[in-house]
Amino acid sequence: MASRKQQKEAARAEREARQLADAAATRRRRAMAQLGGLLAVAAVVVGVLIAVSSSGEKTPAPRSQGQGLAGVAESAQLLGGVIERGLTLGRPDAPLTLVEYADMQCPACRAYSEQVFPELVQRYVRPGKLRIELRLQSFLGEDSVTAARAVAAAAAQNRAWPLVDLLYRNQGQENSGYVTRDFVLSLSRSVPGLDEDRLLRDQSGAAAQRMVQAGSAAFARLGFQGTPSFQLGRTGGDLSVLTVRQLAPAEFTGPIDSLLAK
Amino acid sequence: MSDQRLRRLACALALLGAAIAGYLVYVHYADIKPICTIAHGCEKVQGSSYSRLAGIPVALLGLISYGLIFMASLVRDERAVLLAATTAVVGAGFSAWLTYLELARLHAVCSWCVLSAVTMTLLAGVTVLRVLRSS
Repeated sequence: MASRKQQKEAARAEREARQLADAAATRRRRAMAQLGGLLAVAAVVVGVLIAVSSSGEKTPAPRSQGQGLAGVAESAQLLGGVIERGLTLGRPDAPLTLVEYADMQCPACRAYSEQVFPELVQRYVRPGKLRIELRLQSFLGEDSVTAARAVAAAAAQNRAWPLVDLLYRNQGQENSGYVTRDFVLSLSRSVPGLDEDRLLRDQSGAAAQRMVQAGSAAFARLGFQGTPSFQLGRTGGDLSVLTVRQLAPAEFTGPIDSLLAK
Repeated sequence: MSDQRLRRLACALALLGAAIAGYLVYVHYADIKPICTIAHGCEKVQGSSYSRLAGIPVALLGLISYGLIFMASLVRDERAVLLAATTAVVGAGFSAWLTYLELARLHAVCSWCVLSAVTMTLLAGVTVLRVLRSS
């Protein structure tokens, strides 16, 4: 039979064990409450992040400057359905050929693209009277090189001209570094039928480089001093340098009409 | 595993994550192509609209998160442990969403993003374990 002292020690041990068990249960409850709170907060924050992330899906990827693209609908309307192959716009059997030597970040080239090019497309290219060939130039700076190579890569998919048109409509400050990968991607996403992965792959390839070099060589061979410069003539025949005093449609329509009338 | 070891492991993982996110932030602002083991996957993912959250590069948010987890893991305080765990769980959850986007919507995999997602998930496990141990 246990003595009184032993009974007291047993009761104390039992009390201590119960206290330890209670403390452990309290710690577990507290840990679970903290974990529950943590997971609840995390779930709410992740939900908000996903909602914000998804809200950007309807808008195109932002440009480097964080602006939307200009003239996407207008460009599609201007060039939609026009035949193009490589750097040539228009029917291959069109009687006349206009060759344009242009740098994608040259403001005068943009002025030509805005003030003259649409009329040439509507009046001559769409009816099959004129084809326009582009000779890429890239002497203004790094942005010119990047843009020219992107256009050359798009030419491999026969989608160069819509990209050129969008490059002009979204032209930035000369040599400001605006022709970034994001910028090219944004533009290429706005060109129907242009595979952006292939464009990214091809623009750093040898074929794009050769196409740009060929444009520069032709420009130098003819002794041109600036862009845009032009040649005009019968398709398959000798082309003459077309000297324009100002970038107005009449400077082009006059010589084109004369040649068509012969 | 002792809390000291868990704390060191959390710091190491946070540094690894910060290095990955830091590289992607550099790639973003330097406008260069990331070194990628999967052809063009990184370019496609980094160039997509999902690479930004409310105009902020996701890689930068990742870098900030890893930095926060690292600093919180250095402090021996219960609230710091909770902060690190909450940040890591949020990061792991959002990384899971981004991985889903890569596979289901972009059909491209960025190896750096996957590595970061794995790192963040491990961090979530380690930091949650520290919360359970600290109570």
